[in-house]
Amino acid sequence: MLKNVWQILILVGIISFLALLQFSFISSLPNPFRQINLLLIVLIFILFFLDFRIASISALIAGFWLDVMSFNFFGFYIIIFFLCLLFAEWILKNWLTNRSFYSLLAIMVGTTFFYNILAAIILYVSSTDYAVFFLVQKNFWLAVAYQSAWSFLSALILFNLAVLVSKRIKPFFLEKKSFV
Amino acid sequence: MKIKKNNPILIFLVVFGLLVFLHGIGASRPMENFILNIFKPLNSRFYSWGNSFSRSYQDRATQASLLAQVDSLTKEVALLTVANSQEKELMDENAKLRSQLNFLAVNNFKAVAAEVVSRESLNEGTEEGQDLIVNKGSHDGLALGQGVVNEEGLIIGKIIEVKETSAKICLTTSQDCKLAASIQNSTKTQGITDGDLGLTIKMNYIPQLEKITVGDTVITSGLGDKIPRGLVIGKITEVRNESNEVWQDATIEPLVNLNNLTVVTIIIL
Repeated sequence: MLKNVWQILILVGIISFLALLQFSFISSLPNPFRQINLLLIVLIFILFFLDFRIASISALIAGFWLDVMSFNFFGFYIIIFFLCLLFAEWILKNWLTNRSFYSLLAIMVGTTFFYNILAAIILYVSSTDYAVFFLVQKNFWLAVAYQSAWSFLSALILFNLAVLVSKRIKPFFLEKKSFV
Repeated sequence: MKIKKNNPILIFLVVFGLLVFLHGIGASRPMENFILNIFKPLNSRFYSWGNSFSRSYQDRATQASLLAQVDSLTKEVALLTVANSQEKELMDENAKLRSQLNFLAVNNFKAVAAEVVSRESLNEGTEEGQDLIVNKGSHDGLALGQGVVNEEGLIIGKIIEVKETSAKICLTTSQDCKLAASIQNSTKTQGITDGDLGLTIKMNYIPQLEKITVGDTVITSGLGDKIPRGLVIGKITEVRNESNEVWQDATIEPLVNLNNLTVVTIIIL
C-alpha cells in the first residue's frame, strides 16, 4: 500500500515537472523546437511500456497542470490527453499485435496526428477567434509535420533506451540465422 | 452490460467530473492559485532558460558580431524614435492643451512589471509572435485591454485575457491584436493596426487623401480607453497605394524583437 502511495507521488512529481517544462521552457524555444509535445510523448511511452491505468493517472496530472496554467477552458487538456490515450489503446489492442519499434512509431505518429486534429476541432468549436477553418491553414499542417517529426525521433530514442534497460522487448528469433 | 468497479475509464471520468465541478463552482480556485504562486519563480526561470537558448540559436544563424551591432543599433534607433515621438507629442500637446489644467494627467499612470512565463505554442500553429502569458493577474490590478510596453517604452501588445494570478497578452504582430493608432504625419492620420502573419503590423483603410510616407512613426492614438496616447508601435516600411482604390494600406515594422521578451510592463490608467 505504502509502496503504491510512493509510486503515485513519484509519478505526480515527474509529470508535474514535465508539465512545467512544457509550459514554460519548451514554449519559449524557437521553431521547430517549440513544437515538441513532451507530455503526449511521455504518456504514449507510459501506455506502451507500462499500462493504461498509470497512463490515465499521468494524463490526469499533466492535463490538470496545463489546464490550471493555460488560458483554454478548464478540462481542455485533461480530456484531450485522455481521448488520445483511448485512441492509442484502441490502436494497440485492435491493429498492433506486438510491442515492436514499428508499433511504437505508428502509435506515436498516429496519436500526435489525432491530438492535433482533436485540439483544433475543440478550439474551433469553442473559440470565436478561429475564423479560418484549421484544415486550410498552412500553420496547422506545419505544426502537425513538426510534431510528427519529433514523435518519430522520440520513438526512435525511447525504444532504444527501453531495449537497453529492459529484457522484455528484446527481439526474439525462432530461427537462428548467421550472417556468415 | 456489467461495469467493473475499478474500471480506469470510469475512475478517470469520475475524477475529471469532480475536478471540473470544483473548478466551475470556484472551490478549487484557492488551491490552483496557491500552486501557481508557488511555481511562479520556477516558471520564470524555465522561460528565461528557454529564451536564452532561443537567442543563442538565432544568433548562430548569422555572424555574431554583425548581430550584436545590429542589436545595439536597433536599440539605439528605438530609444531615439521614442524620444523623438515623445518630443513631437509633447510639442503638439503643449500647443493644444496648455490652457487645460489636467493635461499632466495624460502621463499620470501606474505601471506593473511582470515576467513572461510562457508562450501559447501547442495548438496555436507555428505562427511566430504568439500570445504571451505573464505572472501577474487581476490581483495585481491588470484588466482587459491594458497596454503592455517593453523596457524601452515601446508598446508590444495588450491584455486579452486575465486570471487572478496570470494574464494573456497578444503581441502587436499577432493577427486580431488591434490597437487604435495614429501616424505622426502632417494630418495625424488615425486608424487601427493589426498583426500580419506574426511578423509585421498592418494599418488598413487609410483614406487615399492622407499623405503617408515610408519612415513615418506610428503611435497609439489613445482612443482605446485603457491605452495612453503616444506609445510607439513602429515605423512604416511600405505603403500600398493604388490609384483605383478608395483606401491605402501601410506595413509597419515593430522597433523591438518580440521573440526575446522576458520582462514587460503593463500600463494601468
